[in-house]
Amino acid sequence: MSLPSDLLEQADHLSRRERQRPRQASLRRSVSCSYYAVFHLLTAEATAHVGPNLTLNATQRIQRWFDHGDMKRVCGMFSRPEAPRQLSAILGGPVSADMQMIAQSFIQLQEARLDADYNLAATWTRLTAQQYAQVAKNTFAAWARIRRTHESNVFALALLSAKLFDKER
Amino acid sequence: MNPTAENFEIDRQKVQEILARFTLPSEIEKVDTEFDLDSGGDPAVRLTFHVRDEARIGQEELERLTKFLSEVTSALLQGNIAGFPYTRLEQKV
Repeated sequence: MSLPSDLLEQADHLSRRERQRPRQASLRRSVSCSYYAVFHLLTAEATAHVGPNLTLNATQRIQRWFDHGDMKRVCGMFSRPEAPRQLSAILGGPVSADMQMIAQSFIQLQEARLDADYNLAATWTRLTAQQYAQVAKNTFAAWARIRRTHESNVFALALLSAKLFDKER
Repeated sequence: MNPTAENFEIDRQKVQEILARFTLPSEIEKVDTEFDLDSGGDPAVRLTFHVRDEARIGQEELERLTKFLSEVTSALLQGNIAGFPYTRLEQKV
């Protein structure tokens, strides 16, 4: 199994780990795993899209270039059918429903992960953790459907170099 | 009214209008909305869908409810609200 798939499995496992009275630590780690499952899926796939012949060592180094904040910004551009003009010129059409779902989920999961890891005042319920694990699963499924499309290539490029899409060229 | 408060008020009206178009799944008791900023300082609309205590949520229900939240998220984004809609399910039990 790959790291993203292992994290996805772990997110699900942690959300159900205690049969009664789930521990906050389990639920928080579950939410964090859901985010990182999607984060590592997208960075691995984006790197493979942009550099299909890179060595493993180079791939692993490049995967560290991705910036969480930039990825959120790019996902914001892909989260509605109508992309910003500088992006739609490259896309050549509206953002697909699967791509919108992936982008929306990434933003949702990133915010949830920050809350789970740092907001000690919040109390998590099992259902919330299960919801985010399901969102991550749906994101994997949506990516599998579009990973070989023009749109996913543009998305990969944007994730790696968000600034290219900040203005019209 | 400062610009942020004004945006929140516009969003509040749009969110109510868009939510009213949906029929809530039977497991949902009520929806709470909160307007603030997210961890990145961007406008956020936080929607908490409270699931009834007695509702039994198995895999099938989880998939259905998650799909419903995804549809609400898309509708809100297409409704051009200023804040990003963060949706979550909560159940006390």
